[in-house]
Amino acid sequence: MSNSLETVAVYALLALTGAGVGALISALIFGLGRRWLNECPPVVRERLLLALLICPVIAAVALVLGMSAPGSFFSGSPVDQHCAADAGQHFTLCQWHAPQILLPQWLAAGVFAASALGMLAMGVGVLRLFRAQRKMHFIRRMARRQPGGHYVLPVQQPMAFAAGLFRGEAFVSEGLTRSLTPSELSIVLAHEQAHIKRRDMLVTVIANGLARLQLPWIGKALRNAWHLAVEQRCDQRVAQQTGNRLAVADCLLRVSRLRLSEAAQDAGPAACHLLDGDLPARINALLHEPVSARMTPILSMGSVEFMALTGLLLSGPQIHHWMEMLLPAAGL
Amino acid sequence: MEFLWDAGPAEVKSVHEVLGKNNRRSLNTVQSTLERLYRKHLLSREKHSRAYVYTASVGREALLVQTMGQIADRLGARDSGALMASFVELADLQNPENLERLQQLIDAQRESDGGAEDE
Repeated sequence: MSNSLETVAVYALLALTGAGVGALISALIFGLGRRWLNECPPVVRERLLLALLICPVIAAVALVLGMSAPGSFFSGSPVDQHCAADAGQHFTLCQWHAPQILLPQWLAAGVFAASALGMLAMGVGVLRLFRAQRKMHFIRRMARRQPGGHYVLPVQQPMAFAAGLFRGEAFVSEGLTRSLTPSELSIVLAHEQAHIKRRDMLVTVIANGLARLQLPWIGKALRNAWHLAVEQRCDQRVAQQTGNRLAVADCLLRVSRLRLSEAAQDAGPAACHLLDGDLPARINALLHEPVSARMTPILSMGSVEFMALTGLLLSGPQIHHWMEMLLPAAGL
Repeated sequence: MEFLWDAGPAEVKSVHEVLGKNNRRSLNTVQSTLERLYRKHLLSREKHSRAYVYTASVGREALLVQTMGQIADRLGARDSGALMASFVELADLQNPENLERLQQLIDAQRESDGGAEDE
C-alpha cells in the first residue's frame, strides 16, 4: 500500500473511531437526560437534540485534530518528547501529521470498505433527495399561487405542508381550503410559515443525515424527538401570534379529523406509513402555558457533552503517542 | 399532460401545433415526449388510421397525489419531512377514539381557562 493510501486509511480509522465515540457520548447523555429534555421548552429541546445529533461529527473532527497535531495541544508534554526523539523520521516536529503506524492489511481493508459503504449510502441518499426535489418542482408547477404567497393544490384530500430546501413555500390543498374557516386556515399557514422562516426542511435533511451516524435505535429516537420539538416550536409560535393556544390545538385536531375521514374513504398516500403519531404530544403541549427553561439540567447536559468532546480532543496527542510507540513495540 | 387534460385526446401533430411551435420544439421531440409518458403509463393511445391518438390516463389530482405518495415512499415517512413539512403528518393518523379523547382534553382546558377568567 502506498504512503498516501496508508495515511488516508489512518485518517478514516480515526474519523470512524471518533464518530463511534461521539455516538456513544450522545447515547449516554440522551439516555440519562431524556426526562429533563422532555421538560424543556421546544425551542431549547430542539437545540439540545441537534447538539446531540451533531456530536459524532464533532467527536470525529476532535479526534482527527487531536491526533494529527500532537505538538499543538500539550507543549512540553511527553508527547512532544517522543516526537522530538523521532524527529529524523518525521517531516516536521509533530506540528501536523497522521500517526505513522502501519495498519494491518485486514484493518486497512475494513476501514476502506466501511468508508466506501458510508460514501455510497450518502450518495444514494443525495440522489433520492435530488429526484424527490424534481418531483417537488412538478408539484409546484401544478399549484396556483395565491395573493398571500402560498400555493393551492388542485387536490380534494385535506393537506398542508411547507416545501423547498432553500426557498420554502407553503402549500394547501383545495379540499383543506374549503373545509377550514378563514381563521383556521390562517393558523395552518402561520404554522407552515414558521417552518419556512427557520428553514426546517433544510435542517431536517442535515438532522436525518446526522441521525444515521448514531447507534441505530438512538438515532431513530433522537430524530423523532427532534422532529416533535420542531413541530411543537412552530405550534408555540403560532399560539404566540394568535394569542390563543386552544385555537391552535382545535385546528390540529380538526385537520386530523379531516385526514382521518379522507383516509377512511380512500387509502391513498394519507394512509401510508402509519407510525406512532406526534399529535397527542403536540396538543398536550398546547394545553399548558409554556414553562421557562430550567437552566440546571440544560447546562449539565451541555457541559457533559462539551467536556466529553474536549477530553477527546485533548486525549488525541496521548493516543497518537501510544499508537506510534506502543503498537510497533507490540508487534503490530 | 396539461394540454391533454384541458383539450382531451389528441394526435402528435395537434399537440405539436399548440406546444411545439410556441416553445420551438420539433415534432420528433413532442413525439418522443408523448412516447415516454405513454411508457410511464401516464398516457394511453389508440391507433386511428395511421396516427396514434394520445389520452391522459391519470387525472391531474390523481397524478399530484401519486407524486406526493412517491416522495413519501422514496424517502420514507420521516425523511420526506425534509421536502414537505406537513401541518399534520401523513403518518400521523390517529384513531377516532384518540381524537375524541384529545377533544375532551381541549374542552376541559377551555372550561378551566374560562373558570379562571371568571374568578
